[in-house]
Amino acid sequence: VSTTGKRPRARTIKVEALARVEGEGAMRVRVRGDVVERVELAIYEPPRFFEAFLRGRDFREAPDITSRICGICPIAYQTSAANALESACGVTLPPQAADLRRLLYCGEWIESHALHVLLLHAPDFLGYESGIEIAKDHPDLVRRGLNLKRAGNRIVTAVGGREIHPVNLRVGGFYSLPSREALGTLRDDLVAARDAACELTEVAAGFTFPDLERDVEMVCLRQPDRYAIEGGRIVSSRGLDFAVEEWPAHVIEEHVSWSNALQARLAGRGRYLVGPSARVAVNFEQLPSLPRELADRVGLTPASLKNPFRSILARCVELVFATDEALRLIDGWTGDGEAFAPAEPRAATGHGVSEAPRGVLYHRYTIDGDGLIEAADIVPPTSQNQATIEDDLRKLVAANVALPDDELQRLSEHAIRNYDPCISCATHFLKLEVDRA
Amino acid sequence: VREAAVVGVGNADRGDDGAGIAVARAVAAARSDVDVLEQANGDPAALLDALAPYRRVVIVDATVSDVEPGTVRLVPLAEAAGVLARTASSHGLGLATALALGRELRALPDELTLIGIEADGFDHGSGLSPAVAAAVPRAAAAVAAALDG
Repeated sequence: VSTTGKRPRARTIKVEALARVEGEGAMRVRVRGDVVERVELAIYEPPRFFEAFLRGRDFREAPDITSRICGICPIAYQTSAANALESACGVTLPPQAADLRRLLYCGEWIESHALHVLLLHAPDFLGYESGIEIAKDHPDLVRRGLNLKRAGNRIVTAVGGREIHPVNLRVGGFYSLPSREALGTLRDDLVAARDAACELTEVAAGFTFPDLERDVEMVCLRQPDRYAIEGGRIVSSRGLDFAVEEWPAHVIEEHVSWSNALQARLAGRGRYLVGPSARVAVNFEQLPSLPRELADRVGLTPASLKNPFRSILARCVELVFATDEALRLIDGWTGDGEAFAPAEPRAATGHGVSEAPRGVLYHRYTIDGDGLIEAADIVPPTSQNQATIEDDLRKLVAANVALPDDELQRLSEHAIRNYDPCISCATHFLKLEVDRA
Repeated sequence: VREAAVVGVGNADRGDDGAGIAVARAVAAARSDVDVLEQANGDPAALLDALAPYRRVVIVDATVSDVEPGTVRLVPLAEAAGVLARTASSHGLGLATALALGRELRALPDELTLIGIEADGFDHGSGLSPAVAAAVPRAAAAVAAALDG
């Protein structure tokens, strides 16, 4: 930090690594006087490594290859890839396989949200440097949070075949269906996890949320009869409603000079938001009674999610939803039926989406008649949220420009973590830099 | 309570991040008297669950610091955050954080040894670097010494 004269004229805050986000990138804020001139989120991406890597591979390999992009949300990658390739091959999932996809995905939401809420985001609200300090002062809360996460891990292990980089999912369905007994063993943990999720929601509702409001178009998937997770049409808070095949006409990926990752915008509409806040706000009426009543009790309304800091409550309510939904699916599970529908390749392009824990994840593949991948395109949620993160930071810095650098830095990091940005899907290193004059 | 386990931590699809896994596999091939486990990342719930049944555990992971790639060393738990942070930062909370959480929750084994192998690179899809591949037998010997010592 350097200052000139009475009033700071040129100050730079630099953070070597922004802790508690998945992966690393760089955030630069440029302030001149009281005006925030520029906010840039730079992502050092191994550019489109996986899209290049996929070309020439057999289409059946895509779910496993892409799931290795991310250790946090492999189910999302597998599901979006499978959806796209099933569409290309004209395959419809057997109903049991479709249920199992949803259950598996609930496991991933539980794992990811529990980790973020308790160990990555709560420290910001409680004034701790990390989840380790929460464990020191509130060991029971952390134990219950880890048990909640474990319940998600156990679903992924039981359905996916193993916990990290699960292997059971295939184009057309699953290699095998778990027995009714195998899924039944998850039940007690999930009941306890659902209780823990309700409790965590009440704890989070007591946090103090910094002031920030923005009116951004919220985008998520929708299914006619249930809260969308594993597929659906793309809808928005401002009336967009299109099928996944129309994605390329609606979503534009732009290269910005300060980042070698791409930023996504809606054609003719601009930046937008995906993720738990968008899902809860747009699909609020589709939440089942337990999470819906809890949302009402803690004052979580669609309008309240204009404050990005309240995203932690959206994640909590989705934890309640996902544990409850997993129990419903397990209770209805017979273990009978077809595990998959055979997928024969044909020359075609297929599009697939699903709701990754962090938001809509889009995959597109073009395959030839032998099933070899000719082209692949992946749009992860964090690249869709980048422009909105930058806008939040611009507003936040403008409203708090009088704060000392270290407090402004902490607040900015907190704001970035509102998005649970999974930079590892797109990048390597994240650091925060505030430049003032 | 079971006696001893060796845990390899890392992602075999991320270059030298696979060092811990490679050492665990070398140990598994050499001896049958210990359980050998693999953890793809430092997920706290999964890691603490994996360690829970054992009295004595040796964990092997890649390190990133200023020593030569391939350097094998014992990493004191208190120093884990400094040298392990980068290897785990691309996936989840990381081993150092998971271990620190375990300590706060009193959920770690009685005897815990952490062995690090200095990494050279973490490229997607690549295998171990020559320096790290050459260090795997030395690290496996360090694991044996920690188990039998």
